[in-house]
Amino acid sequence: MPTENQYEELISEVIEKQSIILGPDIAILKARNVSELVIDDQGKVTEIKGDKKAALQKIINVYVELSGMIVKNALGSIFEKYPGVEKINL
Amino acid sequence: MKKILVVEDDAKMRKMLVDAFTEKGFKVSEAPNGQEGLKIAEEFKPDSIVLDLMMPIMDGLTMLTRLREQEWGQSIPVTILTNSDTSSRIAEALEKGVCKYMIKSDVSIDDIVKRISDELK
Amino acid sequence: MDFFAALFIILFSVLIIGGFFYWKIYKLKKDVDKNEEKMRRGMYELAILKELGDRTGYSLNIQNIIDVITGSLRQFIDYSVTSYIFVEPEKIIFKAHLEKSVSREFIDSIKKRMVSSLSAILNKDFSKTHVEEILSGAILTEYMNEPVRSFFNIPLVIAGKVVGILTIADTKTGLYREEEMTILYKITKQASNAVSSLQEVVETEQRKLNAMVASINEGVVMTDKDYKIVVVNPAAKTAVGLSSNEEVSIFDFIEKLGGKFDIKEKLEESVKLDKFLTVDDVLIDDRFFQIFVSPVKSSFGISKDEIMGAVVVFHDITLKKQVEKMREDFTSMMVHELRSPLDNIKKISELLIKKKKAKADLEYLNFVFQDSSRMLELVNDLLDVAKLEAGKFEVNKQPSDIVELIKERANFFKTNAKFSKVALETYFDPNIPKTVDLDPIRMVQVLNNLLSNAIKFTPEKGTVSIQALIHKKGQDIIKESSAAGIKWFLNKEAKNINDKSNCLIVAITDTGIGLSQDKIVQLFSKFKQYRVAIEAGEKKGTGLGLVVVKGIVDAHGGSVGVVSEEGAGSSFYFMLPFNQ
Repeated sequence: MPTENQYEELISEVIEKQSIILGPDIAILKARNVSELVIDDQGKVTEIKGDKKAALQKIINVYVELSGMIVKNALGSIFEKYPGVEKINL
Repeated sequence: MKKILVVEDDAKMRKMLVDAFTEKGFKVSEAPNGQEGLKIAEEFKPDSIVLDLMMPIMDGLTMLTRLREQEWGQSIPVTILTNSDTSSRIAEALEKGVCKYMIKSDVSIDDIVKRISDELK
Repeated sequence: MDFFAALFIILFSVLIIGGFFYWKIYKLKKDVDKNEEKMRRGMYELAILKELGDRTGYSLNIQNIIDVITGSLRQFIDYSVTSYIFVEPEKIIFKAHLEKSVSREFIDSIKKRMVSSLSAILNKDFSKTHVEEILSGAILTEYMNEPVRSFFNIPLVIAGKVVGILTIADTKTGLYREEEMTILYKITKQASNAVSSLQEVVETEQRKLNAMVASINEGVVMTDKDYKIVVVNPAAKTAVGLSSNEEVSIFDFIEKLGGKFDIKEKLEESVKLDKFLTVDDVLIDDRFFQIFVSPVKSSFGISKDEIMGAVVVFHDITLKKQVEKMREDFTSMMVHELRSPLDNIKKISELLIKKKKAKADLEYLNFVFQDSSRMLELVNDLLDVAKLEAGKFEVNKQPSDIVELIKERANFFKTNAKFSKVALETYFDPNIPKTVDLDPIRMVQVLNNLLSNAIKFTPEKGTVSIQALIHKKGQDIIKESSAAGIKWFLNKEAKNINDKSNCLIVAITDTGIGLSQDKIVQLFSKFKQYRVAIEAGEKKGTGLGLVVVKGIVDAHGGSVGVVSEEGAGSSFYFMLPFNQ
């Protein structure tokens, strides 16, 4: 059963992975473009305001817009850890 | 009596030559190809050989080469009957002086017999 | 006191209003600055894309493109090090350009981050892969021991595959703003897309080419300028003995053709000399090939007529050769089969004639003799002409005594001449050397032909003379012939002959009816000769004899000709060059 924090944790992992892939500065800067997310300076999501699914879709779009479809492969393994979360269409 | 060996695969031609030489007073032996020719030559020890070039089993040039390789065959005079288009093949043989030649379509039987008997005189 | 209060209020208002205006202007300025910067960035974007387009053109080389991008960076962004890594099958290539001196740890730290990024993207561990490092720009130093504080990685994706990563890094913290970084991602993405589409176009064209070439029967191999195979069809692979569905390289071809055909050498030769080359009769395993090699040139654009590579075509001629050989064998066999019986008939008739039969029988026997002789002649000529046409006519030059040859022929034709009531004479230049290089058997053929013609076409009481002369270049043959006691018609052509190089001239001169100029022209042609012969009435020739004469003389490097005077006679002659 998807817990309240699943989305926060998932998105935090996404940001973390993107930090490794793209670099922490740009990863966090871009994540902050998603208004629903409240992100601390370490890149962890502390709160999601509003529709969590929408927020997840938005952050993925942000990264795809930046570095393209390779994001898909990179994030596939993360999604597998959260079976309850609906897979995002890229 | 001088001995002539006729080596020729065409039976008609061979008969004409054998008859003509016999008439002229030679002792004649014949062979239808080079292989037979060598065998008979060794026994018969002819004074001259008339040799056709194009023969089955073993052709004239091969027989000539084998003949000259033998001690007994080195000094027997050989006259090759050729057509003009085989000149390249016998050119080498002619150069080495191992034989003489006559162009078949040019000469009559009598010419052949005359030439050889003149040489043996 | 009121005055000061009023003054104070006025001043205060001025201050407020001034402050307000100042603030407004400040804001405007900020907006202007912002727009200016936006414009500046936009222009940078355009400029760099244009430069990319110009510099790389149709290059598929992603390294070029990265170099252009990083090269232009310093006008736009501040950094200590820009680096990129490329993924190769066996290793990772790491190239870094140092704009400022940094420490070894800095470089290692960047490397580590880039490899981690790559591993994260591809979900594969690259940390153990060998990294080849190439540094340029400022030197490494231990004094500036600052760590990496700002950096970002741009993945490089071509045709959906991650081929590498581009990284910008600096020792200062928080140096890079989102807009700047985003522009670089955008630029890199656009460049990668361009390369991807170009690659796709190239691959599509290559596939099309391969499809077209696949169905051709001839083997086709196309290489680029580095002799790497670009296109190869199944027929080419089978031609050299490779399996038609395995992947092959130029080295496979070199190996399979070793000793039979130096494909690399021919490719180089063709490209270097810009020439179309043909190699005949190459035997590969048990098939014969004719191999063509040609350079391939660009047909349009700025590189028009530039050589882009080469193509090799394998043309299987085994069947053709087999048919040719069959035909030759058949012809020789037929000729041989015809010749023997004809010769026999001729000889038999000769023997019977000698046996002095009754006059009537004698006449008929003569008919047999004549016809069989003619047929024999024709058969021999046919074979020679066939050989001439196939290019397989050989002469074997040997030192021969031409004088002796001529004398012997004269003797041979004595009876023939007597029968035709024609006199036969010989004339020799005393300067003729003891031996001349020629093919004696073929010469006999030539003399036979010319002599029998001469005797045939000379009326009774006429004369046929065989004449031989040594001509020295520049000398007057009129004088030369006179000195040798030779009377012929060649003196008419003295002007043309005098300047010919040293040669032996043999002529057969008759006192026949002579030939008109237009008849002379037709003489040595295979088909036309027959008509001439018919017009000579009963004395029909086979027509092919002179063609063979010409063939033999030509094969000796000489030339043949005829000079005639209507009503007086003709001189058929040939000239053989010699250097003695």
